[in-house]
Amino acid sequence: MFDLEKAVRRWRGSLERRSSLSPRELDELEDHLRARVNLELELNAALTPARAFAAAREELGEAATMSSEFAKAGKPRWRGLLVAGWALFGVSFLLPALSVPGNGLGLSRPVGLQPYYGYEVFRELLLADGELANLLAAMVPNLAMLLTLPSLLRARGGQGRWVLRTLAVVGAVTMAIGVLMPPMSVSVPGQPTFVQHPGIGFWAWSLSFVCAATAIWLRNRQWTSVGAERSTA
Amino acid sequence: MKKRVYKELVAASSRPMVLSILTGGESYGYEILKQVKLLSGGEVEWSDGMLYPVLHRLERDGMITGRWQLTEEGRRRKYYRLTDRGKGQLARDREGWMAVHGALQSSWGGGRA
Repeated sequence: MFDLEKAVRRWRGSLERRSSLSPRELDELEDHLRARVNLELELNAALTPARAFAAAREELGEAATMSSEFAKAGKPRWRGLLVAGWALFGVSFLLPALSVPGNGLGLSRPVGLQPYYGYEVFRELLLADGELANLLAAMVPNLAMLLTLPSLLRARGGQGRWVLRTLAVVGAVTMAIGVLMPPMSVSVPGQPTFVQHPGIGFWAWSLSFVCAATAIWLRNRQWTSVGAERSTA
Repeated sequence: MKKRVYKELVAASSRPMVLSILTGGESYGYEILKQVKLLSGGEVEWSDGMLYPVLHRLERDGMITGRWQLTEEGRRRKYYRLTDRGKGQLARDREGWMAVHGALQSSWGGGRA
C-alpha cells in the first residue's frame, strides 16, 4: 500500500543528502510537491496516489539540476557579511591596535608613543608570563572566529549556537571596551604624558566579530527548518 | 513541434512575469506557476524546478519579500509579495518590453508577421 507521507519523507531525505539545498528551501519544495500531488489527484480521479506522486516528483526535477538552479539564484547575503568579517579580521592584525610607550608591554622598544600592530599585541598576550587572563583574551575571540571557517568554506549545516553567542559577546564586549574606556594617560619618566587610544586595528578586530556573528545568525536561519524554528521558539 | 516561447524568452520574461502576477496580491510558488500558465494560455511553460530559484533571486534583490504562514491543512507555506523596489523594477521592465514589442510590431508592418 502506497503511503504518501513516507514517500514525501523519503524524497526529502534523498534531496537532503544529494543536493546542497538548505532546509528552508526544502520546506518550500515539499509544500510545492504536496500541492502538485493534490492537484493531480483532483484533476484525474482515476490516478493512483503513487502515480500522482511520481508525476509531481518528476516535474520538480533531479537533485543535481535543482541545486545548480538554486546556486544560480546567487550567493546568500550572509556570505558577503562573513567574507567582510574575515577580511576585517585578517587586516586587523596588520593595523595599529594600540599606541603604547615602548616599555608598556615589556618590549625592548625605544621609549615613546608608538603604534603596536595587531599581530604584536597578539604575540605579547600569548607570551605574557603565565597570565591566564591575557592568554584567554588572546585565544577565545580568535578561536571563535576560526570556528566560522567551515561556513566560509561552504560546509553544509548550521553552526553551533555557542559559536554564535561567543562571537556576539566578544564583538559587543570589545566594542564596549573601545567606546567606554576613557583615554588612558601613560606617564613615562622623562617623557611627556601620552594619551592612549585604541587604534584602527582594534576597531577592525572588534567589528569583524560583529560581522561574523550576524552572518552566522543569518546562515543558521537559512539552515533551520521553519517547523524546527517554531518548535524551539 | 518546436515551442513558440522557447527557453531564452521564458528566462528573459521571468522577472516581469512574477512581478506582474504579484501586483494582484500575495501569492505562493505553486499558485504563481498556475497563473503563468493561465495568463499565457499555456504558451509559457515553466518547469516546477525553475520557479523557486527565480523567486529566491527576486527576494535576494529586494524586489519581493517572503513570509511563512500556516495553511488551513496546517502545512507551512511561503507567501511572496511585491516590494516598492519590485514595483519600480516592474515599471522599468514594462517600458523595456513595450519598446521591444513596439519596435518589432513596426518592423513587421503593424502586426502582419
